[in-house]
Order: sequence, then C-alpha cells, then structure tokens
Amino acid sequence: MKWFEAARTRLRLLFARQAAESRMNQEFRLHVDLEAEKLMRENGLAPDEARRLALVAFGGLAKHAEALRDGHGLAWFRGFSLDLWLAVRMIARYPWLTLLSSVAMAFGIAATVVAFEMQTQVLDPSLPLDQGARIVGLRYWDAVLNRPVLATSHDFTSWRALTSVGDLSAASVFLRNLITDDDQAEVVDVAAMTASAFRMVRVLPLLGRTLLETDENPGAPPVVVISYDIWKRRFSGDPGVIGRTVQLGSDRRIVAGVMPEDFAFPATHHIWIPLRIPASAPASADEPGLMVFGRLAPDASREQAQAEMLAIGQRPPHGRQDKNAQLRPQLVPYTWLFVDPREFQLGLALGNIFVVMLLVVVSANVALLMFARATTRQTEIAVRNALGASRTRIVAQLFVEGLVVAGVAVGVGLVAARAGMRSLLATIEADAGRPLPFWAGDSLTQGTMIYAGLLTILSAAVIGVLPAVKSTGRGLEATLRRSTGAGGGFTFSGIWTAVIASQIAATLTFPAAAFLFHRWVAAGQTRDVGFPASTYLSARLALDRESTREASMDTTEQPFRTRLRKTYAELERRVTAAAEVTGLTFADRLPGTLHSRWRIEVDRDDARGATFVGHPVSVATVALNYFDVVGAPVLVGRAFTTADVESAADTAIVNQSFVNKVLAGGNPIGRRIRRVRVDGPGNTSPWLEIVGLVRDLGMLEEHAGLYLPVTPDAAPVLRIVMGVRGAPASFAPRFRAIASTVEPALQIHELMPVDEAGASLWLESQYLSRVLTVLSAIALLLSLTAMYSVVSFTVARRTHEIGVCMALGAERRRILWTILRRPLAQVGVGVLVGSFLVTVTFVGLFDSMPTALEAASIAAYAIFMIGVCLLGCLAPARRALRIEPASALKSEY
Amino acid sequence: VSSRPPVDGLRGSLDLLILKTLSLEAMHGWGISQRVQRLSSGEFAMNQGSLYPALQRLENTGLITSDWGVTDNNRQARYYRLTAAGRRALDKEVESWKKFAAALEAVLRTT
Repeated sequence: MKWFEAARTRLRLLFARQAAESRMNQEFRLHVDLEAEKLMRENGLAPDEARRLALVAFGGLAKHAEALRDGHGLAWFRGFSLDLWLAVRMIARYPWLTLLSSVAMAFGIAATVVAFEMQTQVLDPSLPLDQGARIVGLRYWDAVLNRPVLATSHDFTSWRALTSVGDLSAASVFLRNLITDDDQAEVVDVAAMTASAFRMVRVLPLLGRTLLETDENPGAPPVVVISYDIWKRRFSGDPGVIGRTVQLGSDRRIVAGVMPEDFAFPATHHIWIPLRIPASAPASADEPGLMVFGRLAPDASREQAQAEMLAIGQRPPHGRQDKNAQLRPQLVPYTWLFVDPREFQLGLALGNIFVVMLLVVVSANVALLMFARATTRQTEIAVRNALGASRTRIVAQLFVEGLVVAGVAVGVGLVAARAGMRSLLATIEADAGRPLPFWAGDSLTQGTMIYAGLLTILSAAVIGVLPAVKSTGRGLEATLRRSTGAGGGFTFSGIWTAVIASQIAATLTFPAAAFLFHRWVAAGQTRDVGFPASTYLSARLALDRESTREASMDTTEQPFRTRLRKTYAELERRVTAAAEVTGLTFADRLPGTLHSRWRIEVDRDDARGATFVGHPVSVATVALNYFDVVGAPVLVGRAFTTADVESAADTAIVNQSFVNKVLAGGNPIGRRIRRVRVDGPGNTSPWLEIVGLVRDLGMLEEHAGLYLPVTPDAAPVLRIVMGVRGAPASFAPRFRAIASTVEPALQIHELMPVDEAGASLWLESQYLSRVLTVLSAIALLLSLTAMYSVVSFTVARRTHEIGVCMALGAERRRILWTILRRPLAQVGVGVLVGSFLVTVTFVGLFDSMPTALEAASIAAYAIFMIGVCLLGCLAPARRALRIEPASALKSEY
Repeated sequence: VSSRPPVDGLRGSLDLLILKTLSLEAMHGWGISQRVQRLSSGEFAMNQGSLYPALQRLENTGLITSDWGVTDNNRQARYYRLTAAGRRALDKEVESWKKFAAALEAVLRTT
C-alpha cells in the first residue's frame, strides 16, 4: 500500500499548507534545542555558544526549509498561483480580447449546457418529490412490436403482492370539462388515482384531505381534490371551498381537498378523483391502460424489484392488444410512463454533438486570437525558456490563462443557460399548447454542473494549450536570437490559412442563413390565407368519450357519433343565432397550418411513367358550408351538397394551385383522381370526382390541395371556424358559455383567432430564429475581430522585409501588392465558399434563386467583409511603408 | 578539509541509514541524527538539517510514516517509524548495498 501511504501524505500536505509550515518550524526548533542542550551538557558550553554551534551543525535553516517546501507539493501550488496571477495580469492588459473571448465562449457553453440539461431532463430527470429517485413505474414491454404497453387493473391487482415496491398505485388520465358556479367550462387534466398515490408522493393537502381508500368503495359519495391553481382561479382562494360542488364532464362532485402549489402529480394534472378497481374482475378487452407506479421499499434496488416482477410472471393474454404480443413486465424510471425517451434519444444526441462542435468552433476562434497574442509574446516566452522554464511549464502557464478566460465564460454561460432553459421550456410549452410535466424545471442538475466543469477544462485546453504548443514548438533559441532584430519571424501559413478561409466562409454563411431563416419564418407567419383570417374565431372541439370506472360513457362508436352529431347541430343553431356571428363551419385543418399530405394520380394522365409515385397534394376534410362561411365561393363547378356525404359519392373540390400544378391549367371539373398508396401494391383507394374549384386557402406544405366533404361526427379532428363581426377574441367567453350549456362534456381547446392558430405553428421556428440571430451576431463579431487582428498581425510582422524592399528601391505599389496578396487570397477563398453556401441555403429554404435585391445584399455583405480585412492589412502596411528604409534595417544589427 | 565521507552527498546512503535506524525503533529527527553518528562511531559527517528533506522524501514515497509524540523530557516531537513497505525496501537496499560493497572491495583488492 505504498502508493496509498504516499497519496495520503501528499494530499494531507497539499491541503494543509499552514499545518505543514508549522510542523516544519516545530521540528527544526526542537532539533536545534536538543543539539544545544547536548553541547551544553557534554561540552559545558554557555547557552548562546551552544545554540550557535547547534545552528552551524544544522546547516542553514532557510535552505532546508525551502527544500522541504518544494517536496511538500507546495511548489506546484506556488507555481499555479503564480500562473494564476500572471493570467489575471494578462487579462487586465487585454481587456477587450478577454471580454470578447469570454462572451463568445459563454454563449457556446450556455448552448452546450442547455442541450445537456435537456437530455438529462428527458432521459433521467429527478422528480422534485421526497426521495423522488425511489419512485418507479411498472409496465410491460412488447417484444414483438418493440413498444411499451400499459398495465391493466388485473396486473395492478397482481403486482400488489410485490414486496420490493411499496405504496403501489395506479392512475388513469384523461381530459374533462370543469364547470364551477360561474358556468365557465374549462378543459382540465384529470387523474383518476388510487388513494395510495397520495401516500406514496408524501405530499399533504393544503386544505381538507386527499383521496381516501373509502372513496373507492362503490356507493361512496363522489369527491374531487383540486389543485392550488384551480382553487385560486376558480374559487378565488375561498377557504370554505371544501364541501362545495363542481361539475366534471357530466358528473357533479364534492370538493374534498386542495393540494399545495406546484403539485401536478402524476404529470400535468389539476383534478384528482378516486380510481375504482374491481376486486377480482378480469380486465375487459377495451379497458384503457393504467399508469402503475410505486416507491421502492427502503432496502430494495431496481434490479431486485425487476426480478420480483419477473417472478410474478407474465399476464395471461387477453384483449385485442395482446393477441400476438410477447409481454414482459418491466420496471422503469417513473417519467418513462409519460415520455418515451426513445423518441428523443437520437435528436438529443445529435443536438448535443452539434452544440459541442459549436463550442469547439468558438474555442478555435478564441484560440486564433490567443495565438496571435501569444506570438507577440514570443520573446517573453523565449526568455522564460532560456531562464530554465520547461516547455511544459510555459504550456501550463498559457493553459492557466485559458482556464481563467474559460472560467469567466462558464460563470456567465451558466447564468445564460438558466435563462435559456427558461425560455426554451416556455416555448415548448406554448408550442405544445399544454403545460410541461411537473418535473421539468429550469434549474440545472448536479450532473450538468460537473459537465460544465469538464467543458471549462476542454475549452481551456483548446484556447490555451493549442496556441501554447504551437508557439513553443519550434526554434525558441532562434526566436531569442532574432528577437533583438525584426521580431519573431512568425507567419500564419498552412493550417492557419485553411482556418482563416473557413472562418470567413462561416462568418459569411452564418448571419446570412440566420437572416434568411428569419425571413422565412416571418413570411410563414404573415402568409395570406386567401380570406380575412383575423376576423374568424377557431377552436378544436372534443367530446368526452373514454369510459372511466367512475362514469360509464359510451363504449361503442355509434351512440357516440349520434351524440356528437346532435351536439354539433345544437351548437351551430345556438352560435349562429348570436347577432355577432356570421357563420359556423368546421374542417380538420385550419388555413395557414400544416395539412395532411397525399400522393395522388389523375385518371387518364399521360404524364405518368413507370417511376411515377403520384403528385404531392395537401388534403383537408371540410363541412359542406365551409367555402361559404370563409367567403371563398366555388369559382367553377358546384359546392358540396348533402348528397355528397349521405350517399358516399366520392367527390372532391380542388384549389387553384392544384389546377396549375397537377392539371397544368386544364379544366378540373369531371376529372377523376385517387390516392396512391406508397406502402404497397394493393391500391384500392377509390376514385374521386372533382366537382368544383376554389381559390387557394392557406394550405401549407403543398400548395396544391383538395377538399373532401365530411359530417361533424366523421371528421378526424373537429376544428370549428366562426365568422365574427368585430374582434373575434371578444366573442370567445360567450362561445364558451354557449358550449357549456349545449353539452357539459364538450371540451373546447385552442380557442383563438384563425390567424393566431396559424402563427402558433411558427413558435419553435421563431425561437430558433432568435437563437440563430444571437449566435450569428456573436460569430460575426468574433470573426471580424479575429480576422482583423490576424491579418494586421501578419502584415506587422513583415515590417523588416518591407524596409529591405524599400532600401532596394522597390515601388510602393508593388510592395503593397506583395503584402496584401496572401491575406486577400485567404479572404477571397472564404468569400467564395461562403457565397456558395449561402446560395445553397437560399435554394434549400425558398426553393428559388435569390432575387436581384437579395443577391445584392449578399454581395454587399461579402464586400463589407473584404473591407474589414483590407482595413486590417492597410493600417500596419501604411505604417511599414512610412518607415525610413535605413531605420527598418538598423533594427537588424 | 574533512576526510570523512559526506553521507548526505550520496543520496541513497542517507536513506539507507535512516531506514536502518528506524528499523530498530521509532525516533524523532534529532534522535535519528544522533544514532547515525553513534552507530558509525562518528565516521559519517552529516549536515543535520539535510536529514529532514530526506525524511520527507521517504514519507512521501510511503516508506516511513510519522506522528506526534512526547520525548523523555516531555517535549512535543515528530516520531518517524518504518512502514511495511519501508521494511521491504530496507531489506532490498541492504542486499544491494552488500553486493555493491563486495564488488567494490573485489576491485580494490586487485593489485
């Protein structure tokens, strides 16, 4: 255990500097005292004389103390603190360089940290509950279809025998309308949950009580526990809320308790009702899946619990899902019951790789700046080397400098990452149109902080060690010899030429791409949908249909469809009776949003070849009165009639782009089309006859589109569109009130003007566009600075050469050309590559070549870059040309 | 000019002497220097202070270890003692020193 003893001693000494010094002094003092006493005792010397001789015999206190300190490991510490001090001094000398480097790297680090944190939150988030890591989910894995399968009530009953999982609980989740005394209906996330779940999460109610086992008994009074948010909003925080009744879907329930703020277990839920599990009934085939979860017993591990689940065994096959399935019980992290990490794994991994590369690119830029600065310190480095500092020592010093810059960057980066997380989560939430699960938060986990620490070291290595190795790599003695003459003789060639050229290409591409992307997003948001969308109100409607154990709803399709049709008819009657409404209609997709995409073929179309896979078109199913309500009457042919939906006559109406693109401008009426199924040869799609033509109405993806007639109960998704006089948003509360009186179980989602529904599609792109803009601004600033300093540095290094040329009588113009040739070539190559990339981006996004104005903007931007570069060359070149040849030469000797 | 061999100039021989001294009993710095002098009958001149860097080196490599203790006349002192690794290192050093001395003597005996 030699190494262990040694390591222990070194560690002790390293962290106990003071203690080590005091121990040394004490030992030396004792030694000298004992020696002096011996001399007095044996030689009869006077105390002073004895002490003097003892000191002589000891041989130089200071020398031995120094030897001891070096051996303590403190030498390394002192070296580090010296480097740290030098680094701080350098930073003070080059504040702008430091600021720029730190800001650039901070941004890179922030992006990397956010990506890493997102990965953690999706793959293995920590639940913000007491010992949340011990809460696990129980489900099945279908080995045939390779997908998770939720448990049934039968499984839940048999899993209750598990000893390694305590407080086993189950929940069934769905949406319901919540209607309180104000008669306003609001769609809420409901969890029908066993009472044990409240025990398991270890959260006490704020008011009243949580659910109890007795609530699950048949015949028990129907109760509900509400969230803090609902209590505050719908009951104005009334302390006497317990005992009041609310309507949930078609049931009335008594409020039994209020949960504390931020409690949204199992995920995004605000209403909790008892889950009734029949004691021993076998699960029915159509029973909806149950979320089953529990808390690992105090001494049990996940592996033990998994083994115990396997021992209990597979469930007997039942139900339609299980016919061919090979189900294996599986214990998973709790959140996997709600989020399947497989869906995100690839995206997250790619995102992480991208941001780490971004950070490396940013660091490489900073490294270029640092290298330019290091070369100006070539003489200093050479002198240090000559005085005995090893190459490792010098590299270490520059590494510490890098570490300080990276450290500042990480500090700023972490703050920025926190803000970035917050805005990213808000965007995801807004984009999804529903709250995020309760475990998603903007705080950074411990793992992420460690990751940030590792990034600091990586960045410091790139910005400190790379330039250091390069600048200490060759001929330091030669540098020292030359340092009295014309400087270090350093040039940026070879690999640096490639770095500078690609740097310029990136600088040109990045902001241009960001600009174009921004324009694309803006264009998408303000796209003309062919009718005044801002005067129409839209909403997605849904009717409660899931059968819960609490309220027995329709379990078969036909009664549900009848109820939906009747509900819609009644809603239409009452809404259109309102004076401010001009009409009500519906479609499965709203104008200005993405549509379903089909590939179709046209009957008797000669253009088809063997490889023809169909024309891509957008498809929407619409109500019979759709075109009338949106004010886009049929231009040619006829509108849909009742006969089109009743007799299943296969008819379609197409838009103008369809005629232009698919039929090459020919008359569409009477032509037949059908869907091409690309998944197999069994093409059985029926032919559809085109009966009418309308103008383009905001079909995204493919502008060529067709409309199919549908009744409200058969529509895949029911999105209603109401024409409103005045501001459509002002009719929204009235509409909610009408809807809740028509049918309490009718859910209203995404109630907003039609143009906003289209715009919400762009939220993520908008966010990305903002991030890209900031990234580009930083990249631009950094690149221009790096380019300027590198170019001006290269030229400044050639002052001596210029002097010689002048002395030999060369023309100024010729000299200038010699100087500018290389930097201009570097910039030229960069601009060419960059312009090519910009054009590619342009064609990729817009499917067209840039217009003259856009091309001119790109060219102007490229010229601006060349200008910055020339400025970098000219200032030192002019200085060099002004020097008297004699004085330029004099410095050589 | 002293004719005695400079012990502290020969790294290795000093370490060997320290390890040997500590193999007998735990000892503080001054005690070690006295014992070396006594065992060598005053033949080894030693700059006493140089003992401490050697002690530290041996401690860093785990051959010896140290703790605070109290001397006969009741003073706080740092006591060094051999570790198991130190004992093994001492055996090896002694062995190699003997070989070296024998070889040296064989060379010197040649006339």
